[in-house]
This record gives sequence, C-alpha cells and structure tokens, in this order.
Amino acid sequence: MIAQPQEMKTIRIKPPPRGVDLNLAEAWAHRELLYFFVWRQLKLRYKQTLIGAGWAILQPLLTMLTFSLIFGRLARLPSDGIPYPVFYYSGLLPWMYFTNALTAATNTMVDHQRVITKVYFPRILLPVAAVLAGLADFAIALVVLLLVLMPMYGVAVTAAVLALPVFLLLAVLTAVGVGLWLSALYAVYRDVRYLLPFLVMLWMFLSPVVYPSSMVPGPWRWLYGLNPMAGVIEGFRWALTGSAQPSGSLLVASTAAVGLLLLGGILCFQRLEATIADVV
Amino acid sequence: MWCDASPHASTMGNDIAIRAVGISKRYRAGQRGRYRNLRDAIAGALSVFGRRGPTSACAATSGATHAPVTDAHGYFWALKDVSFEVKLGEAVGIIGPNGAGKSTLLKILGRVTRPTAGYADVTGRVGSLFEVGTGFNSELSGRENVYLSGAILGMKKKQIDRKFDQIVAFADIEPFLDTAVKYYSTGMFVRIAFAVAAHLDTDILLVDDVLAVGDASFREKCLRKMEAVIGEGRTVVLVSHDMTTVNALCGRTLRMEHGLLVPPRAGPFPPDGARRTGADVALDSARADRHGAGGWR
Repeated sequence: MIAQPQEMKTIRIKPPPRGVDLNLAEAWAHRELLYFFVWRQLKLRYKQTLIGAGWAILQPLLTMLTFSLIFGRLARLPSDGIPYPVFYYSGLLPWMYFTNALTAATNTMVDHQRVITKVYFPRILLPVAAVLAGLADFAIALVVLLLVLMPMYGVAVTAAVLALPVFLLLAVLTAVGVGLWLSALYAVYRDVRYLLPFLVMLWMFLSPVVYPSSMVPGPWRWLYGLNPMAGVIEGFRWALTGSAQPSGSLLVASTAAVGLLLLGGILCFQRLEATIADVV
Repeated sequence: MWCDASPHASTMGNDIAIRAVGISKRYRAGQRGRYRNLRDAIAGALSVFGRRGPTSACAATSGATHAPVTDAHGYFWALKDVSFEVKLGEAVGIIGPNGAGKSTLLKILGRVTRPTAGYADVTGRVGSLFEVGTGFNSELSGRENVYLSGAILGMKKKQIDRKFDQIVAFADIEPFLDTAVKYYSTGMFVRIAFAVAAHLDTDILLVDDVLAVGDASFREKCLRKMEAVIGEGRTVVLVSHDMTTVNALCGRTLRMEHGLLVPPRAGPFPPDGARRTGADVALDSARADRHGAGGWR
C-alpha cells in the first residue's frame, strides 16, 4: 500500500453552516488555479477577432471622441482645466476597466455552470480571475494615454502618478466586491442579466465620468463619494494629470464603501457557494 | 464482502479513506423556476440567502421505476441516511437504477454539493471524474487544454509538466497538440480528455460512469488504466450502470435504490473470484447501454 496516512489530511464534508464561514485560506491554497483561470481568459479574449487587442484601444478612444464632442464641445461641461480628450480618456480608463471586469465577473457562475456541477474548487476564483484578466486591456489603454494622448495635449506626468496603483487597487477591489454580489445573485436569479446593463448605465451618470466631481456641491461630496467609483475616477484624473486633487472626504467615503462592498460580497458569495451546484 | 450498511460497523482507524455517516440530501422537487424571478425574490427577500432546499438538475433525472418520494413539504430526498466506509486502497462500485442517488452521493464526496444532513470524513486528496472533458475549452489547443483541465481537476502545474508526455502518448494525438480542440474529431477529443483525467494522481478517485468512451480499443485502454490505478493501491469509488465493469474492477459493491443503500440482490453477479480481465469487459461493454456522464462541452 502506497498510502501514508500521516501525510494525508482528513476533510469533513458536512451540511453548510448557518453562520459565516470566511474560507479564504482555501482559496489561497488554490492560487495556482487562479493563475490558470486568468491565463485562459487572456488566451480566449480576442480569439477569432480581426483586430484583437486593438479593441482595448478603440473602445476608450472612440468613446472619448464622442464624449469630447457631445459633453465637451456641445454641452460645454467643465473639465477642471484639463483638455477634454485627456479629461474624458483618463476617466474612461478606470470606468471601462470597471464595467468590463464587472460584467465578466458577473457572468462567471452561469458561464461555468458545467464545470461547477462537475468538480470542486473554490468558486470565488472565477469572478476574481475575471476581474484580474481585465487588467491586460487596462494596461494597453493606459499606455496609449501616457505615450500618445498626454504628450499630444501637452499634459505632463507629475509625481502624483505614484498614487495611481492605489486607485487602481481600489478599482480592482470595487469590481471584485460588486462582481461577487452579482455573480452569486446571477447564479440564482437570471434577472441579473437584465439588471446589469441598466445598472452600469445609471452608475456611470452617478460617477464623474462625463463631468468633474467639483460640480457636486461641497456638503454633498461625502455622500457622492459613497459611490466608490467616484473616488477611483477622481483619483485617476489627479494621479495622471496632477491637477484637480480630489477632496479628502470623497476619498475616505469611497474607500470605506469599497471595504463594505467587498466584505458583503465575500459573505454573500460564500453563503451561496455551498448550494451553487444545486441552483445554478 | 458486501457493504455493511450500519453506520458504526467498524471503528475509525487510519486505514479508512472514506467514512460516510448518515448522509442525506434534500432537493426541492418539481419547482424549477421558483424563486428565480425578481417578483418572487422580493416576496421572499428575507429568506433569499437563508437555508432552503435548492432545486436541482439531479432531481430531474430521477426516472426510476417508482415515482420519486416527496415528503409533505414538497421536498425530494435524493439520499436518505446513507452510511458506509471505504478502506484505503479499496475499489468500491456503486450500482443501482437511474435516480437511485448514486451520482448525488459521489458529488457530495467530491465536494461539488453539500449534504443536507450527515457527514463524510474523507482522508487524502480527492479527484473527481464525473464527465469526460471537464474544464476543456474548445477554442484552446490540445496542449493548452491538458494544462487547463488538469489544473481544474486538481493537478499542480509541476505534476502536469511531469505527466504531459504520458498523457499525450496515452491519448495518441501528438500531431494535433497545437490544434484548437474544436477541430478535433469526437474520438480525438474523448481520448485527450480521458487521458488528462486518467493521469490524476490523487489518493482517492471518484469515477461516475465515464469509462465507456471512445472505440473498443480505447475503452480497453481505459479499463486497463483503471486496473492499474487500483493496482497502485489508490482508493476508487466507481459508479456505473455496467455490472461487468464494476465486477471487473471493484472488490466490493454497494447497491442503491431510492436514495437508500440496500442489501444486494441475490443472483445477478458472478461469485467472488470470478473477476475477469479488462479485455473481456471492454468487449462486453461494447453492447452495454450507458447513459449519463458521457457529455462534454
């Protein structure tokens, strides 16, 4: 017999607990599988497309041009003194990353129905991998901004750019947090499919994508900041252009909101994980 | 030789790989779609994440000779108080009609779903083989899929690196390794998919009727592989409709009906010691009627 009992761990399989069971250690133990999921996502992303990763540039670029024309030239919304193309592109950068990551994460449970009902692994890896894989497109779009758009409009990089990773992390955590909520809900309620595009559209208007948050009256900034993407987008603009530093109360509110969303998302997701193979 | 269905038949020694005690699994019967739209959700908002019997695809497959038993609350019990033990290195077959709860039991042991009551202690790493091609993606190449599927089934990258050549040789698809799987013939797909699964080197292997794949010679190869796995002293639990496979591979058989472990029927099996070779089985299984776990994406 090759079995060596002292090396083998015994696991007790039992009914789902009533309370909270934050089993993140299990997910950590499977981090190699997370890598494989991200790798797969990147491999599949632009399979059988004509311009491939060009989409990562075209999407924000064309949206930026439209916004500059409509909200800038026609509606003459303020842009905190930043040239319109740079203003809109630097806002769209985190916003498009967020919506693409959120959509991908939301779909994971339903898309992987088959695997989920056949083999065990921590399900949380799927939405997290979807959010991380989106960073590739983000990086491509960021390079275009730094190397083409900003020099073109004479916007220089300042020391504020060092804060960019912090705001990027905030964007990633927001996408994970909301993605966990929605992917778990989507597994049970197919309503989410109809809710999501609608939610994303409303959310954009509640975020400083087409207008600066300086348009929001001071006393209401903290409330506005409860939308974590408000902090993220303002943070991005400031880190990239060095002007229009976001207000402290907005950043504090956004960070707190991310924390709550993430914690709630993890709890909701893990609660559902126990029965997901039965309901999805 | 047959299963002793009493829960405390033996003391928990360290020679036990799987010990199931009073496992029950409840599904909400015949109410697929319930709680699935927002209006109902709002109505039941407070209990959204509360404990409730989920609807299940498993319930839908219960086409046994008797109607599935639903209790007074509209629940269907796919498993009722199932207890048994499997020793380290033992190969156990689970047989029974469709809807008897075999696959549900295996899914609980494989941690795909949780029991409603009872528990199971499982010692060692578990590999689940519930269908051919789990985790395969048709857009990716054969080579990429070996890694992806291997990782999803629970292998580490290093292990896959080490076994890669064996897997490819077993599947016999070398020239097409870098072709997208969607261009593979059915036979090629089944061979590479089974090859990955067959090279899982977990301590315990749970197999749900996936041995009947490919043509006759490949099936024989699969059965020989399973014999080798059992010969290595690994623990195997095999669900099958095919008595010949079970008898050829397993030293002991559990019979299930309507979610219960039942004593074996007299007669239908050859006596102990009449184990046959994998080749005989492969020939026989060509005519065996099998359903269920043969799907792939």
